[in-house]
Amino acid sequence: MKRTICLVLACLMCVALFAGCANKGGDQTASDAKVLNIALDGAPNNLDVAMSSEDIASEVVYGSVLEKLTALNGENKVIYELAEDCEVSPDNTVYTYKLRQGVKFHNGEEMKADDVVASMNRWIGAADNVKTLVGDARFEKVDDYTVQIKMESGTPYLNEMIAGLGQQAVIMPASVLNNVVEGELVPQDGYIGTGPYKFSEWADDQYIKLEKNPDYTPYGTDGDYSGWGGYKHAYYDEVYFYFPGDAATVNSGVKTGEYDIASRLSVDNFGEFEGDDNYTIFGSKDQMPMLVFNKSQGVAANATVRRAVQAVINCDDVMFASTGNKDYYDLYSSYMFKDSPYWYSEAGKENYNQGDPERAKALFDEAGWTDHDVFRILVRSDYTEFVLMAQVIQEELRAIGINCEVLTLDSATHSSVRNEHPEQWDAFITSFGPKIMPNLNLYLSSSWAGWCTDERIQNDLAAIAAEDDLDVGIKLWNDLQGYMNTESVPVVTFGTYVLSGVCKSDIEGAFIKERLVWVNAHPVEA
Amino acid sequence: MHKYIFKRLLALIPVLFIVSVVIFMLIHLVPGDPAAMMLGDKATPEQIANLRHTLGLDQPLLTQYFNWIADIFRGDLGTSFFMKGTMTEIIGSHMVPTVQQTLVAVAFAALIGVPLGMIAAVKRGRAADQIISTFSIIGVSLPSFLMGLGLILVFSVKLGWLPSSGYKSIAGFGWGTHIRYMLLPGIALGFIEMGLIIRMTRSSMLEIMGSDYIRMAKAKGVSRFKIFAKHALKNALVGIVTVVGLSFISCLGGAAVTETIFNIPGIGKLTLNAVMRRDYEVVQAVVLVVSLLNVLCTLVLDLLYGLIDPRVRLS
Repeated sequence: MKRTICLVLACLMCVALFAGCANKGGDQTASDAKVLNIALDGAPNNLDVAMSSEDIASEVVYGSVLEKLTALNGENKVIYELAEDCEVSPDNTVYTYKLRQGVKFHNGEEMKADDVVASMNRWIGAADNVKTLVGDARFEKVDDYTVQIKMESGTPYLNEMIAGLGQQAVIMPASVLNNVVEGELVPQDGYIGTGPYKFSEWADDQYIKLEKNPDYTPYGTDGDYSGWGGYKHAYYDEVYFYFPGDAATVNSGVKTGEYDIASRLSVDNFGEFEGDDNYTIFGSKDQMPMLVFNKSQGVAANATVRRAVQAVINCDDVMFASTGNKDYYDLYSSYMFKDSPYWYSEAGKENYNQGDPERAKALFDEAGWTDHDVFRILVRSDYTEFVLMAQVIQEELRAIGINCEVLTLDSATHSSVRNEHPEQWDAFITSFGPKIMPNLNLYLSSSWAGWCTDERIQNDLAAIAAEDDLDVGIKLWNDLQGYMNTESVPVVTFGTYVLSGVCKSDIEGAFIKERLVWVNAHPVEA
Repeated sequence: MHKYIFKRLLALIPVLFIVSVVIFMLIHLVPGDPAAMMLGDKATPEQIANLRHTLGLDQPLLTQYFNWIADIFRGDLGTSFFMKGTMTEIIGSHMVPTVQQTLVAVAFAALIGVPLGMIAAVKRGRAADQIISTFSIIGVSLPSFLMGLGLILVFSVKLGWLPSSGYKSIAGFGWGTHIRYMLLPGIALGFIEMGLIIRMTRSSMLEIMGSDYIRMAKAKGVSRFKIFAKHALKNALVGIVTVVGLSFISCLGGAAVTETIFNIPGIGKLTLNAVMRRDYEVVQAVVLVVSLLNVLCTLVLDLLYGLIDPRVRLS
């Protein structure tokens, strides 16, 4: 009898575990709502995109939940988003923004000057290269619908910075930001913006849910949307972002219909979807991988060593090893992308893609390289393509007798070693998307890893930022890129490779611009 | 009995203290910190240092350890840098899918493993025994990630019968949907345990079947079924329950792989993500809670022996 009771109790416990402990985060509604399911290649750590530079966070909320004063369209031109107009003084020191009236935040408050001032000043405080540009200047309220910033020196490209920086100059309510301690991140209930979707729920390790914002007021002309700006529709009632992590899980999820869109499809997986009418692969050669040297200490602090490494690298080999298909990459020497308005340059082209071991050997000898010296390349283990690139460079260096080590580390360790232990590495591999102007290239910053403190580079970048004559600015950049490719070599760019995603063929409107842009995704018949 | 339980629970204190020190030191001495992960790859060292200061991560390790222990004594297991809610809520909400998955896995392993093991014992040396033994070896040898991917390929992609990944709670979607989502991960997780249970059941049954009292029962003319079900199986249960109990613990610990493949927000995935992004207090709290659970599970198993087999005296 006693044993029977025990058995019954044990069975009841099992049922209770199943039924009673229902997960709070799993209460997705199974209704007639139009739902878009997107699989991301990882989970964002937070969605405070004014502070965090994570692309994956911007994929979720930038443009959809949170908007800016200005945005970049598909041609990388600045358009007004939450600003109606911007008046710039002739010497580019005073910017006066007229705000769109009647724009509502998701919490029902109207967007006014106080919100813009709080948001923009928080953004300036968080973004180093903006701080460098504007100095001590901060946004001030002129009236409820007008804000202004007065800078000491001319800054012709402030609107480009606002529109194009990785740390997003998004506008959030002052009532939220005033409760956030300086330097801290906005909590989840503070992800409030003006976009066509509003943040609804973040079920840890499961999904992020956005909901349609019924009060959204679009701007621009219907049908005119490109890049990150223009007329936006919220076609779906609910949008879910999942983080399956494993590539095989993502692919099978797309095939079984669990995901409508998957971002960052690995080139290895193209074959699974290519030629299948049920799926559309979309992509753009929007990533520029590069070797960033440690200019602060170690062997790469010597510019001759950097030139030697540059000489030995065959960029075609490096790019092919990481993509496995010549169609998936372009080789060119410019630090700025081909479709970058004004700034694409071929200066210093002769030093790109040399693959010249003899010259490299001579340069290493000139630099006084000994058998005891080691060239150490740091890579993140979760970026397989970077690991492959590093291995190619390692082999090319070893072929000329240079001792080269590849340190493959998980992202957290990589970040710690890269930022806090520069004595442990000489170069690392990373990639960047297109930037609207040269100053936004973080790898040329003196405060970011790699520490580009070259006086000429910093002076010229400051001069370009302050130059209001575009032609003079372009000439300055052209000369500077020539100098960097020939003498200073702060980085070795390899070219550009494709960043892609896949969606069901009955969905259109999703594309890549530096990252997945899905805000105007909609069923084909809509 | 009560004295025994009290002594076992008392032994928990030094175990948990040692675990807390080891896990705290391990996770803090590994390079990397949550501030860098929160700000992203493009953050400057200065920005990271500022956030570290704001989060109190620049305090001496000893101070951080004592703050954490003091919080535990106040009933607060800590705070996640990345997730909302209290630690109890975080662990609780992630523990549920893991336990559910584990129950499916153990149920699958026991329901398939025990009968197959018994058949193998009865048909010893014959074709059925050979086939079942081979099947159990495959079960033990096949890694759960491979099994998971294979199941997804067959039952989700090719046949379209079951979802390939995800988790749907009972409260939100009902039993049917919940079980559909739990079946493949449960089978993938339980397959290895099934192999072990088959082998254990077979050997236990064979041992019992060769004992004197079974021979006596046969000599008395007791029916074959009765000998098997009433006399042999009952006595073989101690060994089988041990394996099933250990399978439960093993599945709880090994769920991280299947949770990753099937995208289930369980405790394994929580731990993995917490380690990857250095969410210190989550890692510490999870390890403490899992250690506690492990010790309690083995205690429950020991108590169960006494219930199943009166010859086992806990004193």
